[in-house]
Amino acid sequence: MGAHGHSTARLGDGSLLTEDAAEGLGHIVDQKDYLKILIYLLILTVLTVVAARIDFGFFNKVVALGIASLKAYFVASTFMHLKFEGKLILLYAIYPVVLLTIFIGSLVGDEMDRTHPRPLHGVVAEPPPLVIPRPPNSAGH
Amino acid sequence: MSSSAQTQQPGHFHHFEPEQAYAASKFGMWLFLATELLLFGGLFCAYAVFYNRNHELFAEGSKWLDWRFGAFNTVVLLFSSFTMVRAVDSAQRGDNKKVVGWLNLTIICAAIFMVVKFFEYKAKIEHGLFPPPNIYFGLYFTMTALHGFHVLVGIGLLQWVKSLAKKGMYSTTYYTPVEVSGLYWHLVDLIWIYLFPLLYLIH
Repeated sequence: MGAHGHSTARLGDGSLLTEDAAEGLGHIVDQKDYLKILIYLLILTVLTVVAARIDFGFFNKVVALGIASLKAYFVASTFMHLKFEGKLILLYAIYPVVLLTIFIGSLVGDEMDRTHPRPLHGVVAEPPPLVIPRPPNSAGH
Repeated sequence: MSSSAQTQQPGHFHHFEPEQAYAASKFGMWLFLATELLLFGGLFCAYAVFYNRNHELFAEGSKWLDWRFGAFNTVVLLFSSFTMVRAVDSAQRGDNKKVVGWLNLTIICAAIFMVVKFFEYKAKIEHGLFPPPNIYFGLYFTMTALHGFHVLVGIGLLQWVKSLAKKGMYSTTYYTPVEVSGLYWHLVDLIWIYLFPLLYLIH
């Protein structure tokens, strides 16, 4: 403990506990909740496949990523115990997601605005022809 | 100041409260998971750019992938996340035998995932799609192989955590290895949750 003659606070004397540590060693979740979340996740997986067959037009990607994000929320909040964590861990868990949303949002926005190839030093470059192989049958196997 | 090594009880480091050590370990794993998110995030950025440039290529390429394998693997990994969190729960309650059981189930699920992956890759290679002829398959192989590598590392990690359970190491006051490897395993599942629709289910 802090009985070694040092006056400064040190780890181990109880004064530097983070708010996570102050909560004690983790939360014990009711086992039924875990099963409930698994069932939600399985239902959402079925939804993912079903929704892929429906054409929402512009919102196709939004729907697909939205369902995936809902699944991610369930895994992160309950299985990874994020809903019990303090501000410190929440910040480090959520910050990369925010960064990625900004990165990918900006990239997609940039691509959507682009109507012609970017000229290279004044010369318009033609993109190389794409190799698009076709599968033997159209439905996948 | 005494220079004694760690006391007999696991998790009791010299001068650290168990709660502090637990919180620090958990925070350390979340730091690592943040870097993993950005690692795969970079690949998702590449996906976003090339998908928007070559929508038809991605739609055609997706037809080579069998969504049933992808959906099955998704279910397998979701179930493995459930068994993993049950292992953590058992460790929290100090039941080492149950920890071994739930971890075994998790490892079996991971192995099933890799076997399905093997057959998928085998089919692609037989169709001449490796080395990848275009950016869609380049992204497919890169992202799924990197993810598969993380699954393999996870299997090794869980085997080690299981070996500690067999020695009866976990108790209500010490279950940190199970918790933090659980966090890693759930991230592996999270990444697949996004990979599945983006690679397998393009219109």
